[in-house]
Amino acid sequence: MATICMVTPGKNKDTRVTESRKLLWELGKVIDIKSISPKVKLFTIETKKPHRIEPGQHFDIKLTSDSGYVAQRSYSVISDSNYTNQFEFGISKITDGEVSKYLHEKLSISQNLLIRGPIGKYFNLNKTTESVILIAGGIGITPFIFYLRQKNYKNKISLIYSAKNQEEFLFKKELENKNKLYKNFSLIVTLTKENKETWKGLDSRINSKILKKTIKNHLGIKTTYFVCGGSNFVENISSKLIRVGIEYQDIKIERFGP
Amino acid sequence: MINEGFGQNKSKNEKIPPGQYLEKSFPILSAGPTVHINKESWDFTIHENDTIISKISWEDLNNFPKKEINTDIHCVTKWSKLETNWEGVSFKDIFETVPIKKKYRYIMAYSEGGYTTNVPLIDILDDKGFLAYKYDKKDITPEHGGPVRLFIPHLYFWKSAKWIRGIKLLENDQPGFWEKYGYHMYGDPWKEQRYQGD
Ligand SMILES: Cc1cc2nc3c(=O)[nH]c(=O)nc-3n(C[C@H](O)[C@H](O)[C@H](O)COP(=O)(O)OP(=O)(O)OC[C@H]3O[C@@H](n4cnc5c(N)ncnc54)[C@H](O)[C@@H]3O)c2cc1C
Repeated sequence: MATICMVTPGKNKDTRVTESRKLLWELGKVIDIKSISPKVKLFTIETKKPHRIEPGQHFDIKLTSDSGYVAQRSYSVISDSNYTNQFEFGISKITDGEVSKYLHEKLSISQNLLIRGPIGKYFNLNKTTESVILIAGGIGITPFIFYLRQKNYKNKISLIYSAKNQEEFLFKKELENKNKLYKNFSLIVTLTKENKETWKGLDSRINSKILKKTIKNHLGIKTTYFVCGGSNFVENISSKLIRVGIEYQDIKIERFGP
Repeated sequence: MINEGFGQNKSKNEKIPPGQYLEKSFPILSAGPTVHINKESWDFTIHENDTIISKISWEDLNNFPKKEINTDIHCVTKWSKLETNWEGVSFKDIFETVPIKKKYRYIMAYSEGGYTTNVPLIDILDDKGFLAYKYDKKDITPEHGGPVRLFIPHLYFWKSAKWIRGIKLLENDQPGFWEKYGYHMYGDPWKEQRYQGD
């Protein structure tokens, strides 16, 4: 997604030259699997050849059963580098999910699978050199983690992150460290299903009040908005942004699922 | 290559193209926020180079024959939805009132908000392409591209541009919005034409 069926890019000046590289399926070898929350595992997959990748891009994974049935799904790429042959994917396990459940339960280190990418040049966070407000719901944090890892934090970056609870507050340490380290980075977290006794931070779903407060901190700074998460989340947040007065063409979205 | 232990957990269905899965809900997809347009101010323009050769208002649209379309739809993000019900106007009927010169073989559809997508002209003729305004007997909601969206169900759904406002007639094929980002120029789901080179 870029996320990707129907679109409205906004008055689009960034016309690009058509790229005619054929996307080929490659063998990817699983070199690491880590649980990072009860629902999410981080898979590291290695290809023979390195690729140039940008935050916001994804790879497609293709699985084939012994009866010849094929399934494909997209996963946003995470990495420490923009040119690498090792790609991390933070994948959330969906009950009854055909692909995510297989990846979580059956896939093991040193197995191979077919992948192709990188795909998606629209929801590419590096296309803007300006300030950004990133808004993530749940697993929708993955493209932003990659973005935040490669930044020098010269521009103002705010991340509004809605997660269920402490356990599903993904990449917590990494984000909190960055928040301490860089004065240009603000982390705003809301945990919507956490115990109110132990969590004293924000606990409502992302609302206009939270958005407005962050927008105010970017007052006078040219800012692009990136929204990523499930379809309902993205729909909800992007309409709220429009309602509080953000221009259509300054909002870019990626929907992860129905 | 076979992925050991991977099995299909969806019921098999001949109507689902390769690499797709059956979706019961109707996911919303677009690269930007939903566009809101009211019917009264909506119109549809056909351009030949820099000349406007036809403008169809909401009222005009309703004077064309109504077509009910029952069909499957396939999104490049991997979901397919079966037996969906739509109502709209066929380009076949529109082009009877606006004759198109033989030299034009492609269209560039454009939407409110700046989205574009390219389609061969022949793919919207013969009741294959529509301007749809009803989904499941109800007005198409803004989220799904209402008041009027392009509807070309035999191609991946990114070709069925939401919030359609017009088409430009072209002699040669040119890439639209997603096509410039590497998506396939044609987009046949049965041939899995997702990206360029597929
Ligand atoms: C561009 C792009 C990037 C993506 N990046 C990531 C990523 O980084 N990490 C990640 O985990 N996923 C990501 N996804 C989602 C991913 O592609 C799959 O859709 C997801 O893993 C579910 O696949 P599945 O086969 O397990 O479930 P399916 O078998 O496809 O679905 C099973 C059921 O779960 C529902 N469902 C499907 N997806 C979701 C969802 N996200 N939330 C709730 N219910 C759902 C379906 O409606 C269905 O009823 C991305 C999607 C896109 C389009």
